[in-house]
Amino acid sequence: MPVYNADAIVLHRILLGETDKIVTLLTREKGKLNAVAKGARRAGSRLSGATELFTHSQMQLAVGKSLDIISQCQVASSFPTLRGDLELLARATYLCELTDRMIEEREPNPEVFDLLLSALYLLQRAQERPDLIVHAYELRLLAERGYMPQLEACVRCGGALQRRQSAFSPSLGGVLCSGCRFSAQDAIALHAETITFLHALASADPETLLALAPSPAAAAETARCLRWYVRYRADRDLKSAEFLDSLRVQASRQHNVSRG
Amino acid sequence: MSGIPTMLHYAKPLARLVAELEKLPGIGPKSAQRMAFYLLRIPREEAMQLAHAIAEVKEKIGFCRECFNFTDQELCDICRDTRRDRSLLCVVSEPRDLMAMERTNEFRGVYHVLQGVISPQDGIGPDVLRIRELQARLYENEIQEVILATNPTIEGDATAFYLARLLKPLGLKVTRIAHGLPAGGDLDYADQATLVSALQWRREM
Ligand SMILES: [Zn+2]
Ligand SMILES: [Zn+2]
Repeated sequence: MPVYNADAIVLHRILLGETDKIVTLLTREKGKLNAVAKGARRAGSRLSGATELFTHSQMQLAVGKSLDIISQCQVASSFPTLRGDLELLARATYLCELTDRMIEEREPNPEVFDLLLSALYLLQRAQERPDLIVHAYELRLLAERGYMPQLEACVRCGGALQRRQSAFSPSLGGVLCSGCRFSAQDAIALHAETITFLHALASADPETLLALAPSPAAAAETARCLRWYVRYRADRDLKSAEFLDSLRVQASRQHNVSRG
Repeated sequence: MSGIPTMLHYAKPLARLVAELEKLPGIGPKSAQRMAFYLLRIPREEAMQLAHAIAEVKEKIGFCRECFNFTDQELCDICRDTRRDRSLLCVVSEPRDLMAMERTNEFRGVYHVLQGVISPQDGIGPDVLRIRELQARLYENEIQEVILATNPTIEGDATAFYLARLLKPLGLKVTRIAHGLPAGGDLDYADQATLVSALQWRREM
């Protein structure tokens, strides 16, 4: 059997039989592919750590009849900080599901690989505002797939955006000026600050990104816009996005309880 | 219809048995065929014992109304046992994890079976697990410490963190079982996640 090496991040895994896993990998060399990890669920298996979600490894794979088989692996990072915090773990899981959903199989795309890997590293440093990294990744992944939302001028009439009263339409894929903001059924109202914030998320270098401090209103509008835009481009809601919602509900409930 | 051409030559009842056996976890067409032929060969009484055993578990086994372990009574053996320490509650995801804990003969407290784990990518959130029932038990009973015994996987971690966040405000001691290097394992082969948790869970000697 021919073998090849790949730099891989685990996007998804399903259980196979009693002790095996099928993992969906994003590889730098061959893009997204499915592979079998034999015995990976046995305690102490050399493959068990490398085949956990969002773990980054150097792997050797053997070309199989239907699925390739992981023969060797060396874990580069298992992101212990992300695994040690529910909020970060849930977001890292979401980044993986989003990538899996947006990327076709066996289409090499080293840019997306590097983008995901750096997002996972940055997420480890973003305990205060992890959604900065999530939203930056959403925008940049969508841009990589050719779906960068139009933020410069009105997506409908091409007109300049006024300081106040603009909107975002997921189905039109961009912002609407104050004159056009009622022309799309799915339009979400936006402050000018949010548009500036979206620009920064899409293009800021890592240190600037980590230092961004949006107002609560801009953060909420951004979350709403991107939630709907991702849903539109992915054709459905992502399951880990729903889990993130339930965490936010739990957090706000506890906040209310502690306030009395 | 099965992909095996020889299926065409099976008598109908035999084909049905093979098809049913194939649905069992980890059983492929080949093993299903072997098992079906085995069942045909053994004495009728022996085969009927198997059939009755299957019928009986489906009829009589339900969930313990206290801990959600499998039982044929209202309360399982462990919940009925007055010698168990009711101040200590061990949370596991599946009945088979409870069995594994019991085999150690170390744990003398009681259990709560979640009947699953939080799995964000599969859309399994906290709402489908027996978490509300767990909270109810904690409000009513004399439990002082909750030990979280979920697997050291992403889903097991997510479940443990979620529960810790939920239960700690109740003023209980919440702990998680240690994990790190497997017994008989080799330090040199361990991956980073295993070594990091082994370090985190280290203790003084
Ligand atoms: Zn316009
Ligand atoms: Zn019980």
